[in-house]
Amino acid sequence: MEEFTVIGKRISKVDAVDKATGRALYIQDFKLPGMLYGRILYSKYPHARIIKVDTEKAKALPGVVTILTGEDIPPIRLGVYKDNPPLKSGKVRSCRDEVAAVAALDPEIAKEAIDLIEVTYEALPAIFDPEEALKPEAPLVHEDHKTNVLKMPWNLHYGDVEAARLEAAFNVQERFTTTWVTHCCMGTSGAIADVDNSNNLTVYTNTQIPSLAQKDFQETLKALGVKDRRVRVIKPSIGGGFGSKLDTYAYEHLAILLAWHARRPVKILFEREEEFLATSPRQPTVTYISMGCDREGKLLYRDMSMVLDNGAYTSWGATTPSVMMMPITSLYRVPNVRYTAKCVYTNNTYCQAMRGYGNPQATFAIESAIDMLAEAADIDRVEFRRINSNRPGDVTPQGLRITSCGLPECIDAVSKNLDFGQPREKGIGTGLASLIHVGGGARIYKSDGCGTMIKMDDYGKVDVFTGASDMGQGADTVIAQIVAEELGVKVEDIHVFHQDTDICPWDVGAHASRTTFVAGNSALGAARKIRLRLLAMASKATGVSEDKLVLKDRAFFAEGSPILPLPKLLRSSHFTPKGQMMMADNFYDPENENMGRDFRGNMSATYSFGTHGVRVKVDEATGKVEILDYIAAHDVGRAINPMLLDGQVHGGVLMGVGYALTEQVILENGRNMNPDFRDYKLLTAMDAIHSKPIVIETVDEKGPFGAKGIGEPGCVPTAPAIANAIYDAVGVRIRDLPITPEKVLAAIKKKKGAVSCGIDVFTQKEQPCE
Amino acid sequence: MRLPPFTYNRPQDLDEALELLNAYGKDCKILAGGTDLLVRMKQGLVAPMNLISLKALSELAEIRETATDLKIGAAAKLSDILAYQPVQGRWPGLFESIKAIGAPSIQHFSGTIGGNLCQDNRCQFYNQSRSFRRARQTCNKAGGSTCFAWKGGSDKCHSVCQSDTAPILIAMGAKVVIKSRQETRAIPLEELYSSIGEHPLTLGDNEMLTEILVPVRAPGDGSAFEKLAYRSAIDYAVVSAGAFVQTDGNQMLKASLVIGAVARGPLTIATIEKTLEDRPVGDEQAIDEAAKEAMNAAEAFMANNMTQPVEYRTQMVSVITKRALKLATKRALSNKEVSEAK
Amino acid sequence: MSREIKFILNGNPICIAIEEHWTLLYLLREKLGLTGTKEGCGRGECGACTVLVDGLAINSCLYFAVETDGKNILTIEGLAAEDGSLHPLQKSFIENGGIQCGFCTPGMILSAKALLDENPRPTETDIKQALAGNLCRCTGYVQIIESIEAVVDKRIEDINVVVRETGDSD
Ligand SMILES: Cc1cc2nc3c(=O)[nH]c(=O)nc-3n(C[C@H](O)[C@H](O)[C@H](O)COP(=O)(O)OP(=O)(O)OC[C@H]3O[C@@H](n4cnc5c(N)ncnc54)[C@H](O)[C@@H]3O)c2cc1C
Ligand code: FES
Ligand code: FES
Repeated sequence: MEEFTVIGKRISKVDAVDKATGRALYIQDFKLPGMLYGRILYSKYPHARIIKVDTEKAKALPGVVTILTGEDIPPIRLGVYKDNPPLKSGKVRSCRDEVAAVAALDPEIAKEAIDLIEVTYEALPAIFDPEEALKPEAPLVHEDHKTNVLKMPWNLHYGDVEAARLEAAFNVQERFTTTWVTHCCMGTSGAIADVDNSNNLTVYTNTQIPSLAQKDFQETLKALGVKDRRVRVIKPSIGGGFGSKLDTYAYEHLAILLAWHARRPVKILFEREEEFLATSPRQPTVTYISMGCDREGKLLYRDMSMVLDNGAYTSWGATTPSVMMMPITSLYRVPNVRYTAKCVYTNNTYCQAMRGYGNPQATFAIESAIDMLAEAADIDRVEFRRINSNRPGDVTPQGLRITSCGLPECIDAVSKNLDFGQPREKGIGTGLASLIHVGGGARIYKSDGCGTMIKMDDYGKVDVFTGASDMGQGADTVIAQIVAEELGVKVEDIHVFHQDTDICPWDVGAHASRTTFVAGNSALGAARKIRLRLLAMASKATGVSEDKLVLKDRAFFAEGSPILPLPKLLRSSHFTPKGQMMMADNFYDPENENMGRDFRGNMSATYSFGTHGVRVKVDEATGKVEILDYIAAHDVGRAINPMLLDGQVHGGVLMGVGYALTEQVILENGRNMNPDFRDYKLLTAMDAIHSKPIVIETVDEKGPFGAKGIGEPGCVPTAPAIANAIYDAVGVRIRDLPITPEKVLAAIKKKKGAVSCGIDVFTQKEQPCE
Repeated sequence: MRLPPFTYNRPQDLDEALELLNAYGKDCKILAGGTDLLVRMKQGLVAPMNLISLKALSELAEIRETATDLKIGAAAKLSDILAYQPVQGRWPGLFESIKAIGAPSIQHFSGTIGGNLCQDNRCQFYNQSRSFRRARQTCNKAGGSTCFAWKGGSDKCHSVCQSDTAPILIAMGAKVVIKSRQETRAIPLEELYSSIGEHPLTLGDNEMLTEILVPVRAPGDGSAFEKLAYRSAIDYAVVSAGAFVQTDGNQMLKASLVIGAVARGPLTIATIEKTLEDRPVGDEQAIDEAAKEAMNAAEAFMANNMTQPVEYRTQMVSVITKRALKLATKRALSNKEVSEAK
Repeated sequence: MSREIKFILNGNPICIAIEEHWTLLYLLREKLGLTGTKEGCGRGECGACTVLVDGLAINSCLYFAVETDGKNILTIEGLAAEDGSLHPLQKSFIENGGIQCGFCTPGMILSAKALLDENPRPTETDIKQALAGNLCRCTGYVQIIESIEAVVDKRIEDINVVVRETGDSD
């Protein structure tokens, strides 16, 4: 194994000191001179015509500077489908629709002004169930769209599913559902917009996509009639991302519009309730799955169809099927696959990306059904997975080229420990589930690239300007490690800039666990350019041939001893005739492919794998599920920083447990019923799970030092692993997330033959009492 | 978020506090730890003109034992009660109930027992921001005339009492001392609760709670508190139960049971006293009967006032009741003084 | 109504005119510029606003500034020694991965400090309980708990802290 000085070490996050001392600045902490405070009025109805917006009283309130309604703004459309104006006019389509915005001298005045705006609505019939919304008589959410079904035909069929179905010895056919869960970033959303006298725009905002946000904001300026001005996006420390910041939101554009009208900086900062109501949750799904295998347990086909509740507008939630396709076609070897998904407009909240991007929803259905199929075939569930495991060199029906693949090792590692050394007991069970995820970027746009610039000073200190975004996951630290390793310096010699589009190069954004792989490779390439120049210079200066020189610990070594300190060489580089500066740039775009019309294409340069195992205890009287033990094995290529890696896994797992057991955004007729941490059951330290992370290093040939992405996988297989364990423990199969105590209890009662009456927790329909 | 202005008073002794309370009357709120009150103020549910802080009243923070009672000052911090050595051993039910409140770290260092007993009732439609509530009509509790928690609406408020300490304290027969400038009265804690959702306490405008008196432990008695919540902390009860029993080692001599988080006030299940009396210790059937009675009693009050389904909560009354009664019985049996008494 | 209060803030006595309806969180962040204390919910549900009042961890969003009169307040800004050297808990959080996005960190560290001052040898359960009011979405709490255990075990010696001279990370 290669010897590294910095790679593979548990190195502290480069921004941790500032965070531990309270110095790190978040959007909450920014104040600009003359800044106003903006606030948004949301719709009172899930679906209604706006008859009149009366702002007279609000305008008269001292301290109010600007009020905007849908009638006051130029046509601006946000989102993936460009169906979402930042302020609505004519009609509202969900309870989070922005109806008016105010800028005032302080937040309290802005709030009061919002309360004074009088809106007259005419309520319209609304639609909340995506399956109902498919029916011809359903009210239309967007009339001009003519149908509630989005024109995004997610549709693939590889091989022949029907033929395989006839061939199969064992089949399962099931329906699974998942509901809304939300990111719960501890730092709420916020933005400050500032337009200068020449109409250049600066936006301070929590975003995972600075470069794309820049373009969106540019569009808004354009709508205001301003062309060719600078748009600068500054990204403060972010109090959590998890996908929530992959699109620009209305509030960011409203800050711009208010600032434009007021000619003063305007800040909009969400309160916690607003964060729950007006940011976009994970995409809920209704999944129909059938799957079959032959006598030996070899999977023959997988047939899945989904209905996705898109909500009233379209953001990245609608495109999650593009990622769901990956586990659907490629988690385990399965020759015949069919998948269709319909995204349907409803009057619910609209959805966004969230850690795993569709993968947890799809994997919940697949891995639950795998257990059921193994049982039908009477094959041990671990063995069943082994039989069907992906292997290096596979090309899946979708055309994903599996290169490094540690799935068999992950299954082994987990199955070996699955009983956690404990005897079997009543009410206690174990379960496992696996995952595949993109580990080498994901080509969603034309480019999947990231730029880096590196500048090394006379003393061997390095400034790295990266397009990557850090939301706390440690992207900057990993990049610093990669550059430090390559340039033979220490991590503390490196300063990574990632927060300002005026300084940093382009990047498509922090999604798809791509940062380590793509930004890492980009930084590595730039560092390598400098390294090569340094080596050439050092060779010339010392007379030792390049291949005999080793650059490490801030010096050049020959035959094991230091012969030339790096700073000395650096200074001589420009104190000589024809001197040079140590600067380099690099743009890295991985060799992955856009999907074709048939959705085939190797979307990622490599794939990450993992298997989770869990032991649960079910309280058969209350239905409460307790996690006793947890093990998570991941193929990460190489662990560049094991400490940060563990952090991603632990954080992902607890998020997954919340998804499985406690978390849900409760919408009742489109209205959020639990917009706080009291009723949105985010797990606490007392619920923490000391999972045992196992790292399988497959050293991917394309990854930076062999690394693959690992940001998201931690939360992907958690819910099915837990559902499988519950089945193992008490013999009931829960097909709807979250697996709340009331669902478990109702299922146990049903199994025991006890009739229960009242509202059925699964169907929400009333069961008459005898 | 800032709050609407008010006048803050910090009386230096109880008399001054009662004087102020008398003077301000309706226009005033007592501020103990503030962990319930501030949230409601922030949500615009209360907007008192005056606050009377109990922070300087050391006489209200005392905890001590007498021959007959454990006396806890109303402004004693929850953390101080937990730290008071004898509590865990001798009043385990009380200890458990306090531990179960909110989050140990934070509510406990501010929150007080008086504030816990006097916290307002809660409802998922009421304890929300102004903008949340504006989307609907005003409900009974907010001064309107409807109830969203009751199927088909109601002219009564069906909010729920969420105090975790009330059920066990009532089950143990605790009394509270209530003072006004004019008068001091000691009443069974049960009588502090009006069972009226709109104003759940029987306190007069000029009255406050000053002391909680918990009877000392007698031979052969045991107490237990059970709380079902979806998370291990920062969670109000889905159902809770405080149980108190007394045995002679073989038979139940006395039992009382109070269910929390189901009704407009702590719900005393009076019938179980008869049901369990003289039944042998460990008689499963007796416990089942008691649990059924509790469930039936609770069912009549169950409203859709929290996010968990009513049917489930109803069923859980029975489960939690059994657990509380069994644990209390177990404790009664291991109560060392039993044998001595015999 | 406004009134003057005196209290000790991070070791320094201060005297300041405040409005009675200000929360301590508002005073710290908006009036004193101590933005290390965070607001995550304003409702006592997240613990991001935790500060120590006379050594006890409280939610400053549910605490009136006026009630700090005569008290001793410690915020995250006052935890490091005067010469800037970090408190063992700060070091340990940095070294053991107790920090990701960092939004919960000031509150976490202060809750941990309150615990260790009261109970220098807490069990894992004690630690979890002490942190129960501090939500964290990033870490799953595991490395936070480990960070505190490391201080308890005095495993914090020489650490790999990367301190940049520029000192800003925004
Ligand atoms: C996130 C969170 C979670 C919580 N979880 C729980 C829980 O699980 N269980 C639970 O029971 N509570 C819970 N609470 C509510 C509250 O924190 C506790 O009940 C606490 O004990 C209240 O005490 P306090 O001193 O802070 O009350 P305060 O807010 O000071 O007072 C509460 C009410 O009682 C009145 N009052 C206070 N003292 C007296 C007195 N001596 N005489 C007359 N009236 C008085 C006040 O005027 C006020 O109306 C939670 C609160 C929060 C914010
Ligand atoms: S901000 Fe105070 S607890 Fe959340
Ligand atoms: S580190 Fe992000 S919330 Fe805790």
